[in-house]
Amino acid sequence: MTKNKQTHQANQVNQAIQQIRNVENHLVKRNLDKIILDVERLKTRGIYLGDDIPSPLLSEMRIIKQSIISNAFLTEPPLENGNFIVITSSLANEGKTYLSMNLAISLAMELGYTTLLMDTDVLKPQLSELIGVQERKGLIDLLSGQISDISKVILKSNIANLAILPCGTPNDLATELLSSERMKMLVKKLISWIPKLIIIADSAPLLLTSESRIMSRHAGQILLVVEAEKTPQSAVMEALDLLKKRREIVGLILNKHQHRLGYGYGYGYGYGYGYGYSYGYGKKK
Amino acid sequence: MSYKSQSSTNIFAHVRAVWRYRWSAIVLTSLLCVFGWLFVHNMKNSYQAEAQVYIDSKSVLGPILKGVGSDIRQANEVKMLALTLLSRTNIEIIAEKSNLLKKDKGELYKELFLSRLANQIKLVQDTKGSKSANIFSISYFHENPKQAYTVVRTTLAQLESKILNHGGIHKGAAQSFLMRQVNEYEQRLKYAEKKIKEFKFKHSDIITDKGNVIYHNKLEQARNDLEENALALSEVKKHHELLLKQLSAESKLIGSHNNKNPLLTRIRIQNEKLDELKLLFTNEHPDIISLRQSIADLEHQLKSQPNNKAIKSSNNPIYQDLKTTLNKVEAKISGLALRAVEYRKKIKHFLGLLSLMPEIETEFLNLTRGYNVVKDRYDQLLQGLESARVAEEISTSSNTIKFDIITPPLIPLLPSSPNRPRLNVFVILIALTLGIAFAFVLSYMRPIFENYYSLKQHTGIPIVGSVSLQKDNAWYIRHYLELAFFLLCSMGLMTVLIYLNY
Repeated sequence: MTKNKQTHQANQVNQAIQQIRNVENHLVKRNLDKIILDVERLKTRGIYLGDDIPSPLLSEMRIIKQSIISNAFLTEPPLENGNFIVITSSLANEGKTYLSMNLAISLAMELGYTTLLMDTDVLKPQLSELIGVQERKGLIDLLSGQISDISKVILKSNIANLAILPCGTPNDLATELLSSERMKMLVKKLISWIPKLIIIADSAPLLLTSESRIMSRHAGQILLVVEAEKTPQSAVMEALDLLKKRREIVGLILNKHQHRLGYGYGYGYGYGYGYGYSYGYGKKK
Repeated sequence: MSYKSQSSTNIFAHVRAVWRYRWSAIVLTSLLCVFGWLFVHNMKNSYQAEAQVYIDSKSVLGPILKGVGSDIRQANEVKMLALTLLSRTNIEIIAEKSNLLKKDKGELYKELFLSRLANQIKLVQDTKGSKSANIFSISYFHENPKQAYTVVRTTLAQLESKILNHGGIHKGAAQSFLMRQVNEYEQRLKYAEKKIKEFKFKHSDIITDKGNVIYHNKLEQARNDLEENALALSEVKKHHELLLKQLSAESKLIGSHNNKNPLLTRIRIQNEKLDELKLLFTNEHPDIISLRQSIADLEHQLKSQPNNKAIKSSNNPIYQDLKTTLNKVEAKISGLALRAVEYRKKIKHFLGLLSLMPEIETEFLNLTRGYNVVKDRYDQLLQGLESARVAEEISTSSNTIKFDIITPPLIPLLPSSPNRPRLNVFVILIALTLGIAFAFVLSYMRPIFENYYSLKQHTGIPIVGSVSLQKDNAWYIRHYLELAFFLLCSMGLMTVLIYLNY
């Protein structure tokens, strides 16, 4: 085939997928405020919205995504709150926001699922700042009771099937709010808001705050981000210690790893996890 | 896919680990450098004053080393020289003259100080030339240049006075010692001589002047003499007998023959006698010779005589002759008999000595041996004394130099130590090493996860995904900026080092 024909065919496929998406876009129906994500700005931060995602990142996201989906919907018996996934780390700046955004965008591409990206790092709402919604009402307002209607706060984006819940108005009692029963109820509310919803919550570092630890109790899956060549092993072990003896699934994501001399080859993709690989919790469906 | 075993760490991982903590390392290195360089900067300068001298070590050390093996001597020459020249008394004088001694600090301090000073003043053999060259260098370090100079100068002055004025150390002592020895042995020699003389005198009969023991010879001789004597005696006795016979015969004859010419008769009788003697002896026998002579005389008389009167026969000449001869013979006999007695006495005496001979012989041998020994030693001592005298003459004469200053000391302008540039380099090297070590230790104390495998192994938690580092332009800029900054800081350290040293 000629190049023109190839592109034409690819475009056709994309269009078809888009149509399906639109059909299954529950968000379209809802009366939500919309925000436009600044593609270029996000790209400078390593967050890719479109097809220009680098293929390594694409593959890596895919692998993580599969695992998440599998645990959320495909386990028997079903994981409680399995579609509420908290992305956290031991220390700051390990790449939680970066990963949660890219992951959420990647999940939004999944057919049949709606993704809600939530910023629960009330002390440092980096995600909200990144998107540009830090001024808006958000999670904290919902928790404080100021706003009760979630559709007033949740935003839809220019990416189909991706909704965003900003952090909200800064509040002194934010940490208490997060660890309160209200959070639990809010989570329940959110889960039942849209069918096949996947909630990705970008949270604060485990060792630096206590509220992320408590909040993560509400989650069904916890993904601990570890920055390669930086995070001390002791910190990771300490964080894992905090997450022990829980009913949630804990998994690790090694972020910012580099291929180094002396470690052989064939290291990076496809170790045999993903595609419904579930760990420590029941069997696959 | 497979992955290599990563349970054993490798060099690259270690290097990366150290690099990871490079900033900690460089901070530590800088701190250490600052402290080190400050310390080096504040080190006290030490100045060295040096002088080169010529020391004839052989003549200075000569008398002391006599008898010491030459190889030992050569190996330790410098040490011995240093010990001799920098003896306690000398050091004390040097210290006092150069005002090094601090008073009022006690005896112990003084002793320690002086012994330390002796070690600090270095006497080294200059080996640039041949090994047997007598060129030495005397050097001393001190933080005050003038003080260093003073010490060396004082040392030189002290050495000079000691070596030149005394003509060598202990030399006089050696000589006087030798003199005493010579005198002592002279006495002994004289005594031994005397003893020998006495002994010779005592046994002069069996010991000649030359000292030969001639006992046996003397005995033999005495025996021989006796034998000869006996022989002679028997001869003479026989002669005596004969004479007696003749005499009696003659007296008978005198009665009947008194008118004839006495001379003729005499001649006739002499001839008869001669005939008889000839039967017994040869012509050489003295009696025969004298008889012939008397016959000749008589004949001569006869010829010269005109006509002889008749000689009264009261004193018959023949008879007279015989009588005188008889007397002579008798005298001879008694003489011989006496001699025999004497010879017998001698023989008896010598035989008496026989038992004592071994003793006498050994005693004489001992005396002579003792004497010889003393003589030898005496000769040796004389020789030694002579050579010592000669040596002293040579050394005290102005032709032989025993000590000379080749290069006098100067007040040093520049410090010899510490070698600051080199020390500064050491400082930075040590600081670097410590810095790297520090980084290494840190990496061991604070390990991280480099890859999937270590994470999995260490935590035991399943790994959901591994996201690689996105190296966009911004990252590269940051990365290289940081690297450049680090290199800049390192260069900065180097620059400071170079600045310090030059």
